[in-house]
Amino acid sequence: MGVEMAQAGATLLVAPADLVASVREPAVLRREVAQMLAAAHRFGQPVDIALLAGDVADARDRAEVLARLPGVRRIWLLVDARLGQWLAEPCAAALQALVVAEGHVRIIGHDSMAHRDVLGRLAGLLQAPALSDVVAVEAPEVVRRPMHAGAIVADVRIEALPVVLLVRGAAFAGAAAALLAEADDAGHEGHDAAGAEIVVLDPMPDLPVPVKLEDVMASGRDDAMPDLARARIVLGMGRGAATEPARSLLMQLARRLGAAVAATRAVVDEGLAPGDWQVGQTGKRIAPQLYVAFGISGAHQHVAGIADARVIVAVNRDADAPIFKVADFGIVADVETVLRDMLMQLPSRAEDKPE
Amino acid sequence: MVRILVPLRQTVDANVVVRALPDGSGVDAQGAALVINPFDEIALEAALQQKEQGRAVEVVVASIGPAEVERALRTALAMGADRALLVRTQAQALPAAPVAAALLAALARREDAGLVLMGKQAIDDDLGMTAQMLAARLGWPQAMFAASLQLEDDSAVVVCEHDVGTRTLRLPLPCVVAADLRLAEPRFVSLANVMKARRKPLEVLDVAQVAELAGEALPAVAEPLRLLRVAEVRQRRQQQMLPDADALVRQLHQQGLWPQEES
Ligand SMILES: Cc1cc2nc3c(=O)[nH]c(=O)nc-3n(C[C@H](O)[C@H](O)[C@H](O)COP(=O)(O)OP(=O)(O)OC[C@H]3O[C@@H](n4cnc5c(N)ncnc54)[C@H](O)[C@@H]3O)c2cc1C
Repeated sequence: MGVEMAQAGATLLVAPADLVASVREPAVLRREVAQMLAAAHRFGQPVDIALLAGDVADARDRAEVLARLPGVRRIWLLVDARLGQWLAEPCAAALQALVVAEGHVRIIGHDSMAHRDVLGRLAGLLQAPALSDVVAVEAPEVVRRPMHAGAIVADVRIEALPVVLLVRGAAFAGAAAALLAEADDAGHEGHDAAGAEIVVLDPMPDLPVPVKLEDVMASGRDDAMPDLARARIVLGMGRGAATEPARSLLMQLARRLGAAVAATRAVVDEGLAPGDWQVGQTGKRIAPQLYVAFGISGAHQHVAGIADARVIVAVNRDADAPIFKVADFGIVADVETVLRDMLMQLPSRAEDKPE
Repeated sequence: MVRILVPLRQTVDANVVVRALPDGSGVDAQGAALVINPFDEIALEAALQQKEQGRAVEVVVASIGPAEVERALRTALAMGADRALLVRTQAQALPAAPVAAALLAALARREDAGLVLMGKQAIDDDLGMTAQMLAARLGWPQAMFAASLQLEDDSAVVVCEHDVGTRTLRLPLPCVVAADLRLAEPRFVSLANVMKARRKPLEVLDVAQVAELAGEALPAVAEPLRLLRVAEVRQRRQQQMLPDADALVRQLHQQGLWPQEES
């Protein structure tokens, strides 16, 4: 195209959907927003944050948590009872009103299902292009993202504004940690009085609510299990570990390690794990410190979801399984044996006697 | 009863691991088998099931792209779709999502569709944005990540997968529903049906015609996102084989990834 496009214009960052319980924890909320903020800062433009909430008190609480993050100009509170359920139609309409009024040219969200739903619709309302799974900002007009189940990484040039960008939080974790440290230092030295301005969007536009939320089902995970998207250790359950007795041993090891459990598509399709455990190209993309793949063949669609893990371990009885090619450590063995041995290596506790 | 429009994209077969062209200008799909994007195939299966259960009058499939995408449409007809629309583009590349959404919106209006059922994402660009953009353009409600669908007289009840758990939505018709993996299991196509599909109607339209027909303005920038360069991703991992769990636990210990002994 060759025409130089003006890149100036503020960025709007949409705070993560609080449908996931752990996002309500201040430390988690702060960290997740810091990840998006790290991406947003790369554009070198002022950054606002939009907080959607069903009631004011709730929005204020969360805004206070975020106001002291460095490099935030303004926090917009979009408060309306109709926004509390994260339904795409009212949420996208509210964000559209803000973006149009304030002239934001980049809208940044997390690459979660909630944000794909709402911000994808926002892009449609704005007739703007949108990119999911952004893993790097190479230049103000160039972002990087994987395609083809992670086999390919592409640099994409943004030729039209506004644009909607959904970022993979883990890809910005390092820069986010620096932002959080900066905020903490400023806090200790007591010169953080300013912080971002907190503004309530008033009046709210007319919000359509054509859709009725009839039911919400929690996942089939027990409350003690950490959130898969945020867990430090994740144990992957493949078809080779999804049936008894391996399955119970794996769940027990997860409990003892405080790990979350992920599953392959094959396991979810067979009804052996809930849909929100699926990791991969078309499931969640996770970045734990440790991922242990039990009885997983290593199809590229699955590997696409674990590529950001710091350490990958594979346990599979087939020495030729492709998973070993993407693992740091591998054991060719039956999963049951390895699970039992790993449990033995843990300090024993009365409530967890092996079955 | 509704007419269901199922937009289809042709993609490289999911089993093929694609490579980058040596100059990085794009993806090398030469010789790779082309199929209906798996999520669109699931959407089509779900649409066909609705028709077979007497809850839809007609299933119309549509695709935008060069002449080759006719193959995907013929496969869809062989699966059981009633008729097909091909919006032919000059370029070899498939249109950008905002353009596709505008064209599909025009088709949905022309066909007086009561439901657009499509895949949540294409497995080539992995974008996952077109369904939402289309719903917004039409001003219709949307249900993303559908795991089950029940059509009633004037509404659709959809169980949607979500970040945690599932949500059940009731949407008034017309609406847009985007299929996730577990909405339906696509049927196999018999040779007899492939033969039959050859005689089913397939209408070829060009882009300008479609844009005009429903008064949908196409986005001012046809390529709002330009692929600059692509590269293959190589996982660099140690690939160290260990004899047993004891050796593994020792490694994890060293990395601070195993619980320390409690006293
Ligand atoms: C459009 C599309 C999207 C997809 N998206 C995803 C996705 O997001 N995530 C995903 O995971 N997959 C996805 N897939 C599916 C993917 O291609 C694979 O089919 C799937 O990941 C395989 O799961 P698995 O490894 O559990 O099963 P299998 O491939 O069957 O592997 C089982 C493994 O377990 C080993 N094993 C069996 N028993 C034992 C034992 N007792 N001890 C040790 N090892 C044992 C076997 O050697 C084998 O390697 C997708 C596919 C398509 C077409």
